[in-house]
This record gives sequence, C-alpha cells and structure tokens, in this order.
Amino acid sequence: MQNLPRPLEIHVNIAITFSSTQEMNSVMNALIPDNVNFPSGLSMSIFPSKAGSRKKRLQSGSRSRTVVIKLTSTGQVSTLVNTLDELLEHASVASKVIH
Amino acid sequence: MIRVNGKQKQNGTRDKDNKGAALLCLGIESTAHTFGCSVVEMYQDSERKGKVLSDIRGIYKPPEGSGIHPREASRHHAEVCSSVLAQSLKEAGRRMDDIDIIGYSAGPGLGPCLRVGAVVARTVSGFYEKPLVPVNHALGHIELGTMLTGASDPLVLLVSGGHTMILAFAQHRWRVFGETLDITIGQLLDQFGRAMGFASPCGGRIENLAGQSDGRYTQLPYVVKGNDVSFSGLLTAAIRAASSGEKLVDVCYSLQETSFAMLAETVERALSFTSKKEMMIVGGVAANKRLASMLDIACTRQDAKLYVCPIGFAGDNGAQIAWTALLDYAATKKQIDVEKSSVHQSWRLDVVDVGWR
Repeated sequence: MQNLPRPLEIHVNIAITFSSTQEMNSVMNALIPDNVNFPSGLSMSIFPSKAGSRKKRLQSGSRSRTVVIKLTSTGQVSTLVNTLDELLEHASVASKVIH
Repeated sequence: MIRVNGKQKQNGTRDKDNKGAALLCLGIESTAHTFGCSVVEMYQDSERKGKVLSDIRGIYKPPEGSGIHPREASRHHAEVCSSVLAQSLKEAGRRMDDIDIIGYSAGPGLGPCLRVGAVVARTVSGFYEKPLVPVNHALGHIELGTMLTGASDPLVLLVSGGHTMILAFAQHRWRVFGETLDITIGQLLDQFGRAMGFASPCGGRIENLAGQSDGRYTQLPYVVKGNDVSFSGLLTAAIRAASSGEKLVDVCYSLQETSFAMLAETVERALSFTSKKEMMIVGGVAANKRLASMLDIACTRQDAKLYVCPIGFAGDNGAQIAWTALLDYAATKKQIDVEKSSVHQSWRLDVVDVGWR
C-alpha cells in the first residue's frame, strides 16, 4: 500500500500589544465571536499574554496589554492565509476605532 | 464618502439632560457596499418620535461591469470605518460618552462586510461600556421608513439588491405575503446593467434610459407564481433582446414595465387580502419613480395610501440600524453580550420577534 503524504502542519503565533489593558480586552472580545466553528484542519485560540512571571506581575501590579493568537493548520494553506488576513485586518480596525 | 444629512445639532447639549427622556444610539451598517454610521435620537416621552442627527456613508464602488466582491467591499469598509464613525459623531455634535446604545447590522448580508461592522460595534461597545443591540437589516429599512413617512400599519414592499418581499405585520412578526423565487429586483436591474457595461448600482441609469424610450414595448417573460415573482428568465430575455439589436432605451423601458407590473400585481393582491389601508415602499429601488407611480395606481384601486421612503434614506444607511436598535432597546431593554454577538448572513426577517409593535 502506498503511503499518503502527511499533511503540512503549520503553527502561527501572533502577539499584538495595545496601549492599555482596556483596549486589549475590547479588541480581543471583538475578535472572538467571528472566530469560532472553523473548518476541519484549522483551529485558533486567543488569550491575553502573561506579562512576565506571576511574582513580577504581583510585585509591579501590571496587567497584560498583549493579546496572543495561536493558529494551527493541517489543511489548506490558503484557508490559513485568508483567516490570518481577516484577523489582522479586524484587529487593526478595532484599534483604529478606539483611537 | 458622502454626507447625507445637514448639521442639525452642534452645541453638544443633550436633550437627555434637558428633557430627561432622550436616548441616543450610534447605528453601524455594513451588510453590503455601504459602511454607514449614524447617530439617532429617540424621545421616550412621546410615541416613537425620532430624529436623525447624522448619517455618514462610505460606499464601495466596484469597477464598471463588475458586481460587488465581498472581500474587496470589506477591505473598503475596514479602510473607511474609523473616519466614517468620527464624522458621524462630529456631525451629530456628540462624543462617544454621550451615546447610550450601539446598534449594528447583524444580518442578512455578505459575511466579510458584516464582520467589519460587527467588529467596530463590539469594540466601541466594550471599550465605552455601552449596551450592544443586534439589528436585522431588512427590519431597519421598514422601521426607519415608518418613522420618516408617518405610516403606522402598512403593507410593505421591500425592494433592494438584497430583498424583494411583500410584508405585513401580524402577531409580533413581519409576515411574508410574497417574495422573489430567485434573484431580487435590485439584482435584476444590476445584472442587466452590468451586462450592458454600466457601473453598479445600475437602477438609476436604467430608469433614465427607460424615460427616453417612446414607449415601444418588447415582449418579455412575466412570471408571477401564486403571490411570488421570478426575475431570472426576465433577466436572460432582456439581455438577449439588447444583444439582438433592440434599442437599449426600449429594452430598459420594457424591463421596468414588466418587472414593476409583476410587483404591482402582487402588492395589489396582498392589499386586497390583508385589507391594509397603507402601503409603504422601502429599500434602494424605492427611489424609482416609475415603480412608485405604478404602485400608486394599485393603491388607489384598493383605497390605500402610498408612502414612499424619502430618497435620501431609501438605500442602506446607519440610521435604519440606529432607529431600530432604539425601538428594540426602549421596548425590551434587550442587549447582547459582546462575546455572543455573531453575525448571521441569512437572517430572515420573518423569524425576528418584534417587541415594540
């Protein structure tokens, strides 16, 4: 039996830093509803980054201004590229309307 | 970008403060070629009285002979959204802090375009902590039309690029009394126009050319099934007639006469069936004077009064979204969590519960 080629597995990690935690939360929440129910072979998670160690965060009282988006694709590369394209465009739109 | 409304309030003083009853809504429209933002005010101490304080639109224009490309239109919207929003607030003489609620078009429409508007709405709703209200775009056309014309319980003909429906309100919902079985009247006019090399939207140019005809009618398919209409065969036949050497002005005239007669027939039947004494036409094709004159004849025969949505608000706009969100929020206090505010490309009007009528 001939071996089928293994699908390409691509991981994309994006970190976007905003000017405040409030802006980061607003943008992150605005992106979530349109990024569910992906086609098979594509998955995404979106969450605030951990700004340094827990100890440092507690010491400085700082909160994250950075959102992390993780995309994993084992399907069509074009689907991944199109998703990424729209995602970044929407993050930019959200930031623009706040400013 | 076009500015639709003149400045009506610039002093920044809120009627809410003076009368203790006004609600302000920022409406965001982005179902197809238009990205629109509008600030609308509702006086809660009177019955459904509203005022459009601003209405700014950025309109995506495809190349001549081409139709709307959803992703290209959404790129346009992403480009213009922040300036349209800023101009809308400026023209209304308001700041985001003054706004009470955010309304957005949640469907039906083109997915990429709807998502840009939704992202804008969710972001300002989350950042400024304002209630978010999803609005059915088609319902927006009807509610703004009734507010602007003063109609109270009309039979509605909704005619645009996305809709061809005859509707009447009963038991908390708008019920369909006839609709297209295939393409919409707006698509019929646009697809015929594009085949002739016109730039979209083509309705105005077709109306203008039809007016230059000396009334020489070319036989075209007239398809009414029950109280529904079908335009696809008419489109094919009209393109074929124009390609076979018929004068373009005569084909445009015949196309309008045939398609509008189909609508007038179904509207008249629905008027007779429902016994409504008001008939209102809304949507982009409501701007066509020949359609209005044919409907006027049907209304006269059925002893009904015809209301036509003002031409400036016939097409897609943010005011239709803002006004409908105000009606919904004032009556039900319903809002949606940002996290759950997805868009619905095929959201039919007849499944929307209307809590304010």
